[in-house]
Amino acid sequence: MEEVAPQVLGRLEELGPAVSLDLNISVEAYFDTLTTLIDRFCNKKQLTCIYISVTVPASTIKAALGSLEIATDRLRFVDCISFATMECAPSDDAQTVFVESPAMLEYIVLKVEYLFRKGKGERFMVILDSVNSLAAHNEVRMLYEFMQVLMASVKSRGAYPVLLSIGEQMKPEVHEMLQLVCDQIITLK
Amino acid sequence: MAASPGTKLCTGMECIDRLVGGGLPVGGMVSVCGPCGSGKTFLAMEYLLRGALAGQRGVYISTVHSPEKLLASMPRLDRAEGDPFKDGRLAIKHIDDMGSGEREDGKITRPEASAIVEDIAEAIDGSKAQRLVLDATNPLMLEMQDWVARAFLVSLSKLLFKAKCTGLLITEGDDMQGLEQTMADGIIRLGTAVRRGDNYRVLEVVKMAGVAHSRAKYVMDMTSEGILVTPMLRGL
Repeated sequence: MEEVAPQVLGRLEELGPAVSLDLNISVEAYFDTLTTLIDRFCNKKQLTCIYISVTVPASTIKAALGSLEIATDRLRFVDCISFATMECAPSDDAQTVFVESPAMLEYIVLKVEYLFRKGKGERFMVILDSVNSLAAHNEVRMLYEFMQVLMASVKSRGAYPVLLSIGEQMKPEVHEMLQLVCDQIITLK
Repeated sequence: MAASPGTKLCTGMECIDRLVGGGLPVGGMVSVCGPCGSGKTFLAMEYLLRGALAGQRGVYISTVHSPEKLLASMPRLDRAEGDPFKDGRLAIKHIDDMGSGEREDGKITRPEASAIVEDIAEAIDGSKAQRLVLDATNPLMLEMQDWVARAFLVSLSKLLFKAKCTGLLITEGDDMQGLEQTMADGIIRLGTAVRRGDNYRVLEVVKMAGVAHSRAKYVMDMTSEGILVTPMLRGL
């Protein structure tokens, strides 16, 4: 497997903000991709990163990044999974807002909008982790409409929209939907 | 001088201004209705707080909770400066302190209804208020016979228009057949939608006089940045 970081960084630099990018990755490349996006891109460029976590609770991601001594102060989470697993503690973490269920797509849009407003004047990257997890909770037609609304909102703010998808687990109809809503799909090898 | 037809009050709440083409009719009487927990009082408070931020004074008249209790549960908006209730930009009054309290067979009489409107006029004039909230109308209407309630609402509507003060009448319940809705210049309905077992707070503009407004259902969220809305997805 080629190293992930140069591929991701190179493509982000080339495309710039307001271009929706799907990173089609393997399970093995998942964590490398995350650290590249958060540490080597967002932190380096001083971007606020809005991280929509559907696969893993925000606290787990934050702890994993912390163990690698990656700064997380620019991270803001929209945690869509902790409520469903009864693991959320809203008062403990000012960096995290919660959505009660990954099926409540409108609230994901609203929480992202809320974080944009809270960070008035900041520059953003928005990461959706992951399309596969969201597809497990939603019908593709609904997901398509949601993606269109979310991408329009993120692009209008001049932010970097990045979707993560795991190629080997993806249904064909989800892949078709991604082709419609993303400006670029990159398969990391 | 009375409000001119067609002029709008930009509320400063994007959730409202965007959906009604820029703002509410100046001097209009707008009904905000919905069941318990749908966000009516939050919306009303934000309406007044946004006005205060824009230098517009406002009056909140409660028919239910005491001013002390309301102040204790007041929503806090990001970037709000000072306390508009302390520095006089906003005032809270209780309906029991208006009129004489006189009742006939447990009902508010016509003269008493007029006295309440006069006291509301005094509250508006006294603070030069451009925004008014009456929260909620139900307890007041329950104490009035229909013809008295109608006269009360007509007088209130005239007063608001003359004073160029834009009022929100908060009404508890889903019923759209109330006198408040019939006589209002606009209706904003809040409620709950259920999809696959999940509850969504929703907002829709049912009517707004003189403007081409959105008729869609919007999912709403109450945040420290105010009420945020996004169109409800249909998945078509």
